[in-house]
Amino acid sequence: MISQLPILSLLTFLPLAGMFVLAFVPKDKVRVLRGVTVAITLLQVTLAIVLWVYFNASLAGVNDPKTFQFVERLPWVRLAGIGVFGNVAIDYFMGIDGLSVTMVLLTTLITAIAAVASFSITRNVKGYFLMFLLLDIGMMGTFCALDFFLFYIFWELMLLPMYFLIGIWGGARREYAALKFFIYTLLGSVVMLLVMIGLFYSTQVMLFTPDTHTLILNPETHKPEMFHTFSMLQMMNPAAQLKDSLFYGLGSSWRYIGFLGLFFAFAIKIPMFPFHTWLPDAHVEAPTAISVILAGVLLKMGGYAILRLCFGIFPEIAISLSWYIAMFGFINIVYGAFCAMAQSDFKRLIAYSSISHMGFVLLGIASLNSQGMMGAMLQMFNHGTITAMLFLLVGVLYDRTQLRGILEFGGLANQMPKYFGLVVIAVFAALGLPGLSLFISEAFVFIGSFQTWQTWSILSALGIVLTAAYFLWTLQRMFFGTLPEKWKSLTDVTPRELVTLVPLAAIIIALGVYPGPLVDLTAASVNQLVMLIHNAHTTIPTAVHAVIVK
Amino acid sequence: MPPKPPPDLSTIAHTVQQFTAMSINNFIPEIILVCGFLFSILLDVAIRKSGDKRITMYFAIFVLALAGVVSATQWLTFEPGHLKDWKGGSPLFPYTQSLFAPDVKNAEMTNGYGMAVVDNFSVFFKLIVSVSGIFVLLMSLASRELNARGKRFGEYASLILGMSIGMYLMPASMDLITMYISMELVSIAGYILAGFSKDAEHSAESSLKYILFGALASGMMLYGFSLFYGLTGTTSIIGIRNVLALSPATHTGANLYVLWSATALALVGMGYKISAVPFHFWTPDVYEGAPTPVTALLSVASKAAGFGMLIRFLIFIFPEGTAANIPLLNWSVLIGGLAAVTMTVGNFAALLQSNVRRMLAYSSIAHAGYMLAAVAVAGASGVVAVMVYLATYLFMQLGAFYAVMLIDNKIGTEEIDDYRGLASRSPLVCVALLVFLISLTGIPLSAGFIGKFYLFTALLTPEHTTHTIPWLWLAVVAIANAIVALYYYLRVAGAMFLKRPLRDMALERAGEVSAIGPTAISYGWSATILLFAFIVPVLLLGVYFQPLVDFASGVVRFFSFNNIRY
Repeated sequence: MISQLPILSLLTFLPLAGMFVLAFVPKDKVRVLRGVTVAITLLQVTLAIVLWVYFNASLAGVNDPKTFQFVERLPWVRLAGIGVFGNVAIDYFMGIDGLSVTMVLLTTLITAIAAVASFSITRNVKGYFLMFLLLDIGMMGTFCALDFFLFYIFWELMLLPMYFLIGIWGGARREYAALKFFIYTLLGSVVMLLVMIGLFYSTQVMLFTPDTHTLILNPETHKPEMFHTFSMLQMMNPAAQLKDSLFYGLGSSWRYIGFLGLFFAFAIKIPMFPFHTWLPDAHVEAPTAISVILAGVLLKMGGYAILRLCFGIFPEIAISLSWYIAMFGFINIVYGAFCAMAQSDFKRLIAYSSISHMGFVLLGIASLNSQGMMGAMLQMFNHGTITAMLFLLVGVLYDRTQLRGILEFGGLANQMPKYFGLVVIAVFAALGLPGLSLFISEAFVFIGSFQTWQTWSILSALGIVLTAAYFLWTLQRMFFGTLPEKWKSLTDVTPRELVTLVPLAAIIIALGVYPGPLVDLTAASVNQLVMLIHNAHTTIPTAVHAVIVK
Repeated sequence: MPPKPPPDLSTIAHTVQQFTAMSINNFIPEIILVCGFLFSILLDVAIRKSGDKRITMYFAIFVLALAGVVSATQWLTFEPGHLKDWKGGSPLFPYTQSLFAPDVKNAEMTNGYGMAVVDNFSVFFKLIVSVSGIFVLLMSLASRELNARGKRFGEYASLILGMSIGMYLMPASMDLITMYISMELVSIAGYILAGFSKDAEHSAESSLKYILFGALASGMMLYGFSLFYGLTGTTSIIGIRNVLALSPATHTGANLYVLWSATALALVGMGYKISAVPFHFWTPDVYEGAPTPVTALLSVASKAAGFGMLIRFLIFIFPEGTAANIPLLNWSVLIGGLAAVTMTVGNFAALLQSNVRRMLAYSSIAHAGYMLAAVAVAGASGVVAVMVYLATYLFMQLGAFYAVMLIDNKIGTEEIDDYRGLASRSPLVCVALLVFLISLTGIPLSAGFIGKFYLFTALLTPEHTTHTIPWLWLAVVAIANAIVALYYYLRVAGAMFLKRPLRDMALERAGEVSAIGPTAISYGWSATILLFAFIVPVLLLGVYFQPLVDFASGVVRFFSFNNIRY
């Protein structure tokens, strides 16, 4: 019964209903505005839990249309062909598998927490929550969409609200940071657009009519009509590739170009060195709740999309370029850690630590085996919760003092004991202490990548040491030593802040002790993806054209 | 071609009579416009000086709407069963009805296709002209600049109707003479309209600039046309096509250079109309100096008509050469280069502007560049892309100008710096302007994205035989440009939404205008309705674009030339 509900559409478009309600709430009814938003996000959490309960973890998905769950498919655009355009089919096609279900869970969780954390916003609250909910639609849709066109629209939908959330409610250099974020991401996504159109020209399928379930026939020839489609699953299907198309077959140099184009777009989002420079600015200037969403959800889209699109559609290119991906993973880990070490701004430090942590995702996916990829998936989830918590903790301090400089503080441990306790959990989780969640995912990543790329794994281990160094050093400078006179009046965390922090801490500890549920959710899909990659050379036919690169 | 023996005079008279009688039906939209034009002058005289001259404006709106509706009835539905008859066949466009030679199937004379045609292509452009004309007239009613000269609304309305006649004929022209005459009709009306608010600071200057550039461009175009006539002995573009195809002497040896020069010179005139670089120098000054509604009309309707004529000219006049699908004269290289330069110059110049309207003027040059890029693709996909782009561009560009005009009406300035913090004072107009700017950038869920999407789809048309994408480089240039464009569009959005209002600076600059200051600005309900008339299509086309694309495809289905790649 539950599986008959359009639960993914509900999840995605609930915020739209929320926006509609908010539009009629007067500007100064701040409590109502907050209440509606929190209610919407909590409703999403509930739906996500329902989703989780009814999710069948043994169905793999990835490139197999039959094992996707909660699938909704409606024809959106059907165009009769003219010339090279051919017939066009764009679908409203939603569905989830093991790769996306954890991301959906993470998104609802982080969004709900960010909604509560947004209570500290006091200026133009209505505009803020409207933008917040719009962002929410974009995030949910991106993880649920199985049609590339739809995916692209959701992906771009996040840009504008993010621009305003950073640009209006951000810190001193907010306009610069917002613009940089917008331009960087748009640069990536227009390149993605080109590749998407290229894939669209290469993919052709027969379609069924939605009501009678018979093949759509050409009115003249009475043969099945062929449609160019944006369905990701058909793009992964070698049988749906047009024989004389650009992306057809192993060894077509266009497949390298396609892979790199998509990878470029997603690498910006992750963010991968050298495309990471938007991240520290965006994080530092964004208000706390938005930093939480940025780190908790938006960065994950990069990793998720690489797995789903780059690896799913161009598996053999993933094999031949995985050495470089591992190398960039290593650079991210170590470079991010060194940069973090040099920061005197606590928020900026966490931003750089994000870059370092996302390096593990790259290293994990480059390993091309189940352990490494599983590690990458876990790392994305865990990084989402831990960094969200760290940003919230910075926010707590910033709300009280309007300062974030590490050297401004000292001896806070006695002044704010509860705060200190939470910081300890988050920081120790972030540096990979066994028993806390990040340890599990980093261990998986190393187990996986050591089998494939030994050198990069060994070198990346340096990152763990560096992470421990900068986090412990920070802890020491901020919480030990003498308390400056001016901070004698600092209050400890409030109940509202506890509401946002405690669930995250609980998840971090729980998943550190027993990562089973998360692993189970993704295992089948990760294995399927690994199989897809390893069988790439046998399932994908060889290119028929002369332009072939080794 | 050997000269034909002169036919008997009475036969000619009979044929003309017959053809006129047969094709008069196809000419009804233009006849409506002509009658409306003449009647609007009488109406203007009939209304006393103290009377409300706005009546002429409403009359003009009615005339344009009527002409548009009648045009729409001339739309031909495509029936797939007839496919075999024309595809790749010799009768060039049996389904288009020539104005003066309706029975084209039997027409063998080189100039037997008449002066203009009614086909889906021209109907599409006529509808664009009508819709934008109506919107511009509605905008004009609210314009502070024009209301200051409210006594001359009659003149204004008849000028717009006159201009519309030209814009109706431009994309329908099948003859170099019609092309020239209709373009001049548009230009002359445009010169007067550009200088309409005589006592405004830049109005006279802008009008003069427009005339000087226009005279030069049309002179050069006429020279190019005369070269075509010299080469082929006919002014009918189908005639020229046939002569070029049948007699190699017209495009071999030195004559090839003549053909190139003739094409290049003809392109000067059309490039001027669509403000392609390097014929764009008039654009920013005229757009800034002319009253805002006129600017909107010039940047949408007259540009659309220019594109219609350009496509008709390029795609119809050159027969395919020996190599498969390559036209005799590889004009798409030329157009591709022009497109790249146009979009780049337009965008980078727009970056430097501090005046919103001037910024929009340069950005409209950039948009002309994008559309030219689609023209360069020289195929069905390119033509569809241009038409989809134009239809989306219509709403977002007119909307942007309207929002700018509303703001200017109230605070008396168009400087980006004075837009600071405007969102808190007039949220609706600012959100509307934001939607239009976002759409102009090409972000999804706005009409502009669909335009860009089809543009890129056309540019990425793969060449299966060589396993390449011929226009990939142009697509990359367009992408780089889209990013640059984002920057300057966001500058306006940033000023409105991200900055706090600066009361003092704005007051200082605007001097006498007292509405400036961080107080709320209110607009009438009519302004709100018109704004929504722009916003709704912009957002709706972003989600539900199937009808528009079907519409545009319906045009291209009737083209049966071998040099349109299928």
